Amino acid sequence: MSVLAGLRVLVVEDEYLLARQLERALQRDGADVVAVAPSVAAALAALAAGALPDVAVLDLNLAGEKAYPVAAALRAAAVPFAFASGYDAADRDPPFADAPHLNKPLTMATLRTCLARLTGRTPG
Amino acid sequence: MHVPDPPVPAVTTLGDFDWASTPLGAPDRWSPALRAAVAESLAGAAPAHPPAPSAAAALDALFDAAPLGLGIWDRELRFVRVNASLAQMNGLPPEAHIGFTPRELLPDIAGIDALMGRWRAIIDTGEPWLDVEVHGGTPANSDKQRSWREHFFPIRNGDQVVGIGAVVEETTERDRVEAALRASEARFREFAEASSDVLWLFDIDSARFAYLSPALRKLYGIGVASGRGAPLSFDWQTAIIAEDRELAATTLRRVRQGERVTHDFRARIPGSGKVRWLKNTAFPLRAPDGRVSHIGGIAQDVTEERDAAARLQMLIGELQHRTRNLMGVIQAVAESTLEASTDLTDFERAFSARLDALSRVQQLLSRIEGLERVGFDQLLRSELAAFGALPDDDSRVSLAGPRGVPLRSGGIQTLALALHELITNSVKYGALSQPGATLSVRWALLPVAAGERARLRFDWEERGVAMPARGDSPERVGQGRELIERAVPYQLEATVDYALTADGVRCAMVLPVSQTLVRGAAA
Repeated sequence: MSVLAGLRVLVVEDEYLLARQLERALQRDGADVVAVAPSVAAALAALAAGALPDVAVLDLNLAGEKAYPVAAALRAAAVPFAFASGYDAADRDPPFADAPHLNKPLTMATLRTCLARLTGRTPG
Repeated sequence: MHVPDPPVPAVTTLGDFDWASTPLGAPDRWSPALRAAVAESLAGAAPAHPPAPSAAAALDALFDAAPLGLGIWDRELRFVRVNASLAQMNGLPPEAHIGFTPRELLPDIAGIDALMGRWRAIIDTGEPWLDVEVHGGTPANSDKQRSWREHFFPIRNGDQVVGIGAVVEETTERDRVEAALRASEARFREFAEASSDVLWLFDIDSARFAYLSPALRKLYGIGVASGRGAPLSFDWQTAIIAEDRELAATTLRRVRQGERVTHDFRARIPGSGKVRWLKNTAFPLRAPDGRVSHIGGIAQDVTEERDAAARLQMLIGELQHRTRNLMGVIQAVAESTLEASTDLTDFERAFSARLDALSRVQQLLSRIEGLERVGFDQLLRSELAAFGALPDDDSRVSLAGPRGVPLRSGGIQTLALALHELITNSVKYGALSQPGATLSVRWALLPVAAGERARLRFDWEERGVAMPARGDSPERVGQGRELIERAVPYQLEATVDYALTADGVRCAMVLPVSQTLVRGAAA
């Protein structure tokens, strides 16, 4: 049984191929990808429409717009999240400087460890 | 060594005075010299010290030994007397002057005739002529230009002017040094005033600028009086923006303690209110006593430099982002291509083709600059060209649409991959695989209502295609359709209508485009 089994995950990633790949990798790990959103608006709409996820993975740069509004909404709802981006962690805005940061391209191993830690699950 | 006492006149009496009761004691215990002096004094004889020189002798000595040139002329302006200093300046022995006029002895003095006239006026009027600058050569070294400061005054005997006295101070060396200093200062000033940097000199005691170069005018749009003695009250503290004032003050303190400091600060330009970055190097200038009396500085406007550095930093960040993103995309393409491949040869062919499509779009992206965008036609033509499917090369193909419709930068890769799939499928199974078929690609900007985003409509229409019963790799076709029908709507906020008709493939897309113009656009 994977450590991510049954975990409800929101994926925010503008690049379709990456979003699709991430979705499938998470699904293979037993996670439940509740929504995949390409933009801030789509992510906020997904949060408003459905039940809250347990955790979220946010691409920092969504076709030029930053994912901070989504991060703020998640923080307000006490949903833990990690940023994923091709930028250095140092480039992040101060309010979110302490959020976990995953370097792109993502590897499933680091993602799994990160999401498990964020949701208090023990990697097994 | 014994020195015998000088001869002493015999002391017969030392008056009625009771010397024994004074601190001197009895006269017979005095030294012979004291006894002699007291005796002389009491007798009213000549004093013991040497006689004072006569006034005339003193003046003679002064005249001869004075470091200034001194000369006396009679009413006919003939030298009567010349001291050693003046004789040396003139390059003639003192006695050679006597009886001759300056005109005769010193013909190389500039304007000697006019001077003669002016001296005669002293004889006539009895008025002195002071602070006269005289230049020229003398027999001492006739080819060298020398200069003197001279004073002329009448010498009187009763009411009558009997001659002229002249006091001459050589100023050649001082004038040379001063001229050199002036030239050096002028050169410095020219440098300073030609510089686009602001050169400044701050006088600590008066808390004012001793110099501010005119570049300040260019920078701050205000003039400063740069002449000597003009007070330079430039309120630099107000010019520096509040956040950087403390740093500037700290810098000045450090420089006053003898340090050389370079720092960047921001200044608000009066008038425009714009903030500029200045790089300022300040250094201490010391008075002869070693204390820091002035602060010198060079301030340079580095706004453009900093902007360029920031732009470069941003570009590097973007490039890094794009590269890492691309790595992820290639990984995903490889993964999904592999899933739909029958064997490695099949994989190699399909993967290479998709990688080529990605390379072409990277090439297009690398050619544009700054805020420019890739035009839709550029992307389409680049994909068609890769398959030899431009109308010039393939008569089955027709294109119609405006040039330079700017694509938004996000999603170009995905759109390129989708176009690649349309063309690949057409080359394999569709219009571009059959002689009698046609491919028509049309595109146009849709009319935009106020507040709406610009949108492009794109129609891909294959006709006369004998549709195959089934593709030989339905999963591959399925992947192509996923890129067209799912990736494009997801990433480009586009609507896509894809249909396999009996006549061939029809695909209509409506996608938002950028508002920015494409270079060379003729839309």
